[in-house]
Amino acid sequence: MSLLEFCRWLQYSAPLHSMRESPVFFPIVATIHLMGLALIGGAVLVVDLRLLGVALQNQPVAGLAHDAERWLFRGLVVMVTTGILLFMCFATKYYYLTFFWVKMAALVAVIVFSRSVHRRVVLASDGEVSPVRRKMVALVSMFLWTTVAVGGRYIGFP
Amino acid sequence: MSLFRFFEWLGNTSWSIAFHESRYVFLIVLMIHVLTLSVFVGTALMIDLRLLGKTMTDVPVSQVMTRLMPWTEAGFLVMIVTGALLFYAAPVARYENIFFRLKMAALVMAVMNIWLFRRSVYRRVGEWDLDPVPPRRARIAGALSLVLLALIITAGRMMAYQDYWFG
Amino acid sequence: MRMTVKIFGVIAALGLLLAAVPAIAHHSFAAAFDENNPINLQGTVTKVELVNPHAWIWIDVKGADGTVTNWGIEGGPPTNLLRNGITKTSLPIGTEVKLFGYRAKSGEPKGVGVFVEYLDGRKVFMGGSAPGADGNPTPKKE
Repeated sequence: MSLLEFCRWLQYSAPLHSMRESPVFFPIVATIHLMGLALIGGAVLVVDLRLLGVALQNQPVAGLAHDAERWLFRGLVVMVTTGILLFMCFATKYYYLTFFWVKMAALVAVIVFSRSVHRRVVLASDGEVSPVRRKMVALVSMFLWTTVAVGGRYIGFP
Repeated sequence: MSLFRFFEWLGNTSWSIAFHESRYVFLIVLMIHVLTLSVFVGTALMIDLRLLGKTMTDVPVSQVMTRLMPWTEAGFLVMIVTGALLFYAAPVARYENIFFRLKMAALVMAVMNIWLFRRSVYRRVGEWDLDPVPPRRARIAGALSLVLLALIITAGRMMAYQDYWFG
Repeated sequence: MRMTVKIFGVIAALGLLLAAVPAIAHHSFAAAFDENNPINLQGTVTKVELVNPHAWIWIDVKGADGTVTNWGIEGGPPTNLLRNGITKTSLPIGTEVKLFGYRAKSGEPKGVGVFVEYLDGRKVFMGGSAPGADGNPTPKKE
């Protein structure tokens, strides 16, 4: 079965079909997807703005990060769940969109990055990491998340 | 001149038409508007969660407020400017969109909630700054803010369905 | 003073909400289009709205009994139509065209368009949310 055939199968599968009969299904899922965006935005900004030295400067990054990590995870759960449902509604259309695959690649990249390089820098105590490195890590993180978001908006254009 | 007539006139100005029919500009403004909610609502959300005692509970409330609010305000400014432009693209259509009206009502209430909060219970923040869980009135303000922000997002997203749901 | 402000705020908000009531034209509670209800229309162009975020093409369709219905077909944003070759001048009012799409669930004479077909056979895809509107082959449903 090719990827395109799998997408078609997803798009027209029985449980999804009955969900799609409802006129409010897609709008509601899309709205919750946006709320997830706000949650991820807040969680990411609290840490990355601190790394850049432009917010919550009096707080040690590690403390902020432990908490923000929890909320980022919750935001991701919301966005990935609603994202899968949204994808299923238009699977064959998204299959053909370059930007959809760019978004997926950036999403995988940022999750891997957040759990490795970014995490190490964030949890390191104050003297260990140079300010330059902290800022670089924050910028890479924000750039990747922005790519995910912009990719999402591009495929959202009708 | 009635409001409707004014919006009709506004929609017929050459810049409004050009923007409404633009190849790229409208979509770019719309994209900035939607994505900036991650900054505006994102930081407001973290502040509200602090007020509810759900995050950064070892950070004084005043610290969270003074360090994050500037970003909330900057995000809010971008939302207002891009929002005004999007309104200008089709003033009559926006004005007659029920979801747009709901969104504006919720926005007014959200701003008032913040303003009232800062004038009342936040004035005495010194008394509860270090509390992991702030006093009841602060929690109510935080919860109300979250609900109103959720309403703003919902109404904004639903604006696209006015045509098909309400003919 | 605070109480006054609060009351004013609530009244202002309610006022905005109530002002929205006259704006509700019908109560046709349906949304989007019905994928099981394809429409093949032929008629004369009455209006072309190349606007964001959705373009609309309006045509007068003459029914079998002679009555004329004005149909509105939704497409993608102007950038999609322009890329596919539809400009403000390529569909002058009065042009006879065919439109293929899917009908709105509300039952109104509206739908989401897949493509515009000129009488000489040229097809132009409308680039909206209808399956196939991007010009790519849609795998057949079972």
